[in-house]
This record gives sequence, C-alpha cells and structure tokens, in this order.
Amino acid sequence: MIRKLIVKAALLAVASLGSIILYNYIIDCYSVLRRNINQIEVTPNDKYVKINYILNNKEKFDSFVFGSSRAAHIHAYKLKEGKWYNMFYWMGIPTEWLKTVRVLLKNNVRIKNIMLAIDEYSYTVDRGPIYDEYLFTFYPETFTDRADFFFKYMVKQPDLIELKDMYKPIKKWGLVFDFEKTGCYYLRKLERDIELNPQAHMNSGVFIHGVKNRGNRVKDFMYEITEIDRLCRENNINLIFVFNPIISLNYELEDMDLFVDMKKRVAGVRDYWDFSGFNSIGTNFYYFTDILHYRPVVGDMMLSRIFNENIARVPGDFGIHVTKDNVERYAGFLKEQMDYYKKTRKVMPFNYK
Amino acid sequence: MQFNSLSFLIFFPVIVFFYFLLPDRRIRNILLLAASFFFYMWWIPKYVLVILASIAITYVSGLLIGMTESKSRKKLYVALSVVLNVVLLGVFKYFNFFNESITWLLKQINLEWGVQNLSILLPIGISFYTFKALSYTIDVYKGAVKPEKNFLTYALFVSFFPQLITGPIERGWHLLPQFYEDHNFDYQRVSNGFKLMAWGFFKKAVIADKCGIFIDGVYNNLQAYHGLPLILATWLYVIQIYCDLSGYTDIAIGAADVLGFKTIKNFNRPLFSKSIVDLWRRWHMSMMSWFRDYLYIPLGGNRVSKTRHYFNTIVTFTVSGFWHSANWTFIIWGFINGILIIISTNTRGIRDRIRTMIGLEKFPVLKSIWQIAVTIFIFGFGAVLFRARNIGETSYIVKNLLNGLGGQLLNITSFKMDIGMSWGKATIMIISIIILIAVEFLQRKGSVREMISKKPVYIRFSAYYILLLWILIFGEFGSKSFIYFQF
Repeated sequence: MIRKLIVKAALLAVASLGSIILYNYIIDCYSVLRRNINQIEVTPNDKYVKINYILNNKEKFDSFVFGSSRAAHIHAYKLKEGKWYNMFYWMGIPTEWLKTVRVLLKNNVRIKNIMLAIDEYSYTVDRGPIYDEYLFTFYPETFTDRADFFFKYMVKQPDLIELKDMYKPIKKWGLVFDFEKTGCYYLRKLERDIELNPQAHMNSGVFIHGVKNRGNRVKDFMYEITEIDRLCRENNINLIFVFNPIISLNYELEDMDLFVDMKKRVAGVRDYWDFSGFNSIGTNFYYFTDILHYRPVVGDMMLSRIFNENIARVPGDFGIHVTKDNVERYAGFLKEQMDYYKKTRKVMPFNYK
Repeated sequence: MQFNSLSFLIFFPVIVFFYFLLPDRRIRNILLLAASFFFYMWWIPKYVLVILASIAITYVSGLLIGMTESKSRKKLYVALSVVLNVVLLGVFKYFNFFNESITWLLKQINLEWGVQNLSILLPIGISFYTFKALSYTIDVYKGAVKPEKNFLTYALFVSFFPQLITGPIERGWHLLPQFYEDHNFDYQRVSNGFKLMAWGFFKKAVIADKCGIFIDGVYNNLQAYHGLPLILATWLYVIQIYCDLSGYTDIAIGAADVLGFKTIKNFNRPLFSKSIVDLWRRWHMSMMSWFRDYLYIPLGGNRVSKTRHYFNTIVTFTVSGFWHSANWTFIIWGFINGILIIISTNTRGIRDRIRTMIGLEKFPVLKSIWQIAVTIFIFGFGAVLFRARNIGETSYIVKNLLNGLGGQLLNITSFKMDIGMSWGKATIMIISIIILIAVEFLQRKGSVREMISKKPVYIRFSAYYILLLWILIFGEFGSKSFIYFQF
C-alpha cells in the first residue's frame, strides 16, 4: 500500500512538475535553459547569456563595452582596432560590470580594451520596485550556484501575461538581438520609422516627462569603478571611461550639483570622455529612441570623437576629454551651459577650449 | 514554520516517512513531539519557553485537580491555571493595547501615564495553544476528561504541529485518547489527507493570496479609493479570510489525517449560510464552540431571562473579537456580531412573513440565493472592522462605500481601477472562486473527494493533476503569512 501511494504521488509530482519544467524549457523567457544564442527573442538574462557565450568563445573577442541598455547603441564592433563585443546589461550597474570583469579574467579571457559607459543611472539607480530576480540573477560560477540557478529557471512559475509583455517590443519596435556577433540589440522598425518621419517621432508623446532616478549609490559606484581601474592597470587593459549623453528632459530633473560633483570624482580616478550635458545632441529629441536611450547614430558619433575617425560628422560641443587637470574649469563650463539652456531653452554656443 | 513554505514541503514528508517507519506508538509520539517543537521553533526559538510555560501550568493544574477531592481546591487550581494563562496572553498579546488605551484615556484629562510599551513580538499561535491548554484544565475540572499523567503526551496534545499555530482548537477528550491508539498506515486515509492538504493550498495560495493583492492595494492606500473599489475590497475580503483560515484548517486536518489523527471540524460551507446565526454555526466552529462551552454556557447561555441571554450573547462575541486581536476594531466587530445574532434571532418571523408576502417562498432556490446574499452582505460589512487598522479607516470606508458609485457604474466601460495585478491574474482569481463555490455546493451531498475517488482512474488522475498544476501555475508563493498567524 505504501508503495502504491508513493508511486501515485511520484507520478503526480512528475507529471505536474514535469509540465512546468517542459513549459519553461520550451518558452525559456530568459534564454538560460536552451542556450541557443541564435534564437534569443525575448528579454534574456543577459548576465548569463553573454558571459556564458564569451567563456565558450574566448578567442572571439578581446574588447568589451560595459554599460546599461543606454550603451547598447555603442557599436564598437565597427572599430578597426580590437575585436569588440557590447557587454551592456539591461539596467546594468557597475556592480555587475566589476563582477563580469573578474569572471572573465578568472577564466583567462584575454582582454585588450574595456569601455565603461557610465551616467547618472550608474550612481543613482534604485532597482527596488522593478527588480526581477530572473532577469538580474548573475552568472553562476560554482557548481552549487549553477545547480540553484538552473533549478530556479526550470521551476519558474509560468506567467502567460509576462510572456505577452516580453514579446511586445518585438512587434512594436522590431527588436532584434545579436548576441553572437556584436552583443547589441537593434530596433529595426523604430529606426526605420524615425528616419522616415523624424518630426512624428519627436512629437509622438514619448518626450513629455523626464525620468528621475531616486537612489544614491555614489560610494559603491566609486569603489566599483576604482576597482575596475585597478584590475585594468594590473592586467594591462586599455580602459576608457565615457559619460553617456542623456536627454535634456532628464537633466532637468537631476541633482545638478551631484552631477557636476561626480564629474570631478570620476576625473580623480581616470580621464574620461564626457558626452553629457545640454549640448546639441542631448537637447535634440531626434537623437533619442525614447526618454532613456540614445540612438545608434549617437553611439557612432561618440566612437568617432573618441577614436578620431570621421570626426567631421560630430558636432563640436559633443564629447569633451576631461582629465583631473582640466576638470575644475570643465565643471565651470558645464554649469554655464546648464544656466544658459535653462534661461534661453537653447544650446549655448560652443566656446570651450 | 509556515504551511505554505518550501521548508514545510520538505519537513512534512520527512516526518511522515519516519513516523510510519517507527514501530512503536510511544516512539512515534516522541517523534511527533520533537517535530512539533522544531516546527514552532523555526520562527523565534526562544518563544518555545512561552508554550512550555502554558503546557507546564495546565499539566500541573490538571494533575492537582485530579489528585484532590476537595471542590474548593479544584476550583482554586483551575482558577490559578486560567489566571496564569491569561497573564501569559496578557503580557504577550494585550499589554500594549491596555497601555495605549490607558495612556489615551488619561491624556483626555491631561494626565500622564508614562508606562512604555513592551517591544516584543506576539508569539505565533499563542491565542490558539493557550485556549487549547485552558480547555483541557477546565474539562479536567468538570470531569469531562481525565488528567493526563504522561507529560510528553500532554505536551504533544498542546503542541501537535498540524494544529499548533491556527487551530482547529482541539479538546482533550477528542485528541488525547488518540495518542494512545496505534495509527497504522492506511492508504485511503493517508491519500485523503494529502488531497485535503492540496485543496487547502489551493484555497490559500490561489484564492486568498490573490485576493490579498487587490485588498492590500486598496487598504494600504485607502484615501485614493471610493465606491466600487471599496465595495469589491470589502466583500472580496470575506472570500480572502475564509480561504485563508479554512485553507490553513484543511492543511492542518489533512496533515493530521495523514498521520492518523481525526480532527474536529472547523468550517461547514459558511459561504452558503442563510442567516448570521447559521453562519456563526458554520464559521470557525472550534473557536465558537470553545466560547460556547467555556464562556457562554457558564454565563447562563440561553436558559436565563431574555435580557440576560442577550447580555451573554454580546459578551461572548465581544470577547471572541478581543481574542482575535488586541484592537478596538476587533472588539467592536465582536460586539456588532453579537448584536446581529440577537437581531437575526428575533426577526426570523418578520423575515419569513416578508418573504411570503413578496412571494419568495414559492421559489426555494431564489429564496436560498437571497438569504445567502443578504447574510454575506451583512457579514462582509462587519468584516471591514476585521481588516481596517483602526476606527478612522473603518469610518472612511463606511462613509465612502457608496461615494461616486453611481458615476462609476454608469461609466463602467471606461472606469479604470488599479487592481494591483494583471487582469489575467484577476480572471484566474475569479475562476478559482467559482471553482471553490462549485465544490462547496457539491459538498452539500457529501465529500467531493469521495465522489472523485469513485470515478475511473483517468478522471481521478486528471482532476488531481489539474489541481496541482493550477496551484503551481497560479498560486502566489511569496510566503505570505496566514492572516490568523497574527492572532
């Protein structure tokens, strides 16, 4: 009788749990179970997918762009020097970039260049309300971590609504991932629509209100970028710091004293290229896909400025090289630029030298 | 440890496995006792001292009552036991309530009290196990049960883990003898126990916790709501609290069943009650029978003058409200239910005549639906006090239940409401509630589990498979506590 009960209970458990596992394996919302990088269609756990891919293709890339999804449109793979891969993470923060650098170095990935695309999100983000444990679980390194990791995704509670939401960007914006060759994602339909009718895009209602990040992780941020800097120096990696351009609507909500202060602090760690501020790109909605993200054309201009290629297409006020020697003067310029814009709603004529 | 936690899903099968592996009843009891204390100490280990104190007090008093022939001494021992248990409850559950009430009262006449609140957490299940232990002492005093001499068996009676946290509040005469019986493995009983547990999980994880998302959303931001959302939250709370407590009860009874123990009934399809009196006969029956036996009847019950009978009813319900929680809202909730019982009892004739007058008596189904709807309406209205955190919130809800309702109903197609979850989840919640009502409707003819067990194997298996899958897919597994844990 005991055997009969155990067999029946086991059958039921296997049937019901098996159904859940099968569903998760087939749907694989976060792209961790089937591991087919060519079939990524919905929001993947990019921490897992990308690190796993790089570790299985150690020779394929030697240069990496790190950042949040804003950095996804830095198409560094177009550069002649280095085999670049864009390691942006959804809502990525420096904690994850530092962890990733450590994992790559520990696993003997040879790194020549790293580009860190930082911005106000990196030191003010508060993921609390939008935290999704499946999206943000980091790449598991140990055997037990891996067991926990895969178990979690296998027995994940199916959510049909979540599934529908995840496929939405594909339909609406023509979202396409390329995790195999570039690490980037592309919004094919949206890009085409913007080029066909830029005015309609700028008036589409996307650019009405800015978004303010409310957290404060300045201390952690400074530790993390300093640590990445140290690791790069120790391992002869060329490290480039970049401040992302942000749309002017968001600057207006930011704590501008902190914004300027962070420019000074980061300059204390390493020189950087600053693309932020009320410049001719940040104040023009044409250059943004939405309130948070700049377009690939902007990423291309950033690369042109940094690597001095096709420089003619880059506006003079877009991208300034900041060092600890010129940062005080630069901070003064930023404040002046900001005041001018707030008073006139126009971009200040570029006079910084 | 919570029933709806992964730890319990591991703990319980392990205990069941070793329980049936052990050959001797006494060793099995020791295993159950150890498991019960482990279960209790999972939360805050030091609070085991509180339950041990209650066990020790009632065990010794039971022995002393049994040893003496003197009536006055028996009375003294039972009184001591009651007082000491009430002191335990008083310190851990009611001290801050009385302290705050006295502070507020004295403040009205510009006096200071100056006594600080105790910063202690309420020991989980204290209201349940103290009442269980007290019922034993009183039953020994009344001669309804013999004093238990074996301390371990008595400790197991009070701490028996399936019933420890939220009841049912068992009685010594019913549960104690079962610890002296051999519980051999019985396939049918064990299988039935697991099925009942699964049904309990369905009620808790799928219905109660889903309802909770919407209700918490409304109650945590009350000022933002009026009309329809308040009405929905108020009456959905009846479903939530029913599924929460009866879900726990089903898991408790099922778990005890698996181990071979019969448990007293705690709910009898209360959503089908046809009057408030009927509802209180079907709702949380173990608690209501406790108050009936140890408070209402000693006060004189209904074999007294009418006025005294009303007084007894109101006192019983008010105390039962206070037993739930040390809060004025619960005291008022209990008091109102007492009044409702009196009104319900005294208006039966008038209600019958009105129904006859409007012709409802000719349509028994319609009549039943009407009676049930009115009962749930009244009970749900009272439950506002049960859910609201204070009188201010209660007052806001009552004032704003109908505020703007007309406009909301007229523009129902364009009316938007943040329900705190996707409409998909809400649909699942509604379907689950319909399933619950359908099953309880079928239960009027007997156990649905038995009905299913008579069906061919593929139907049986499909039913259990769908139930399990439904829980796994649609259940809320954020380890939400059972509402009655706070009592």
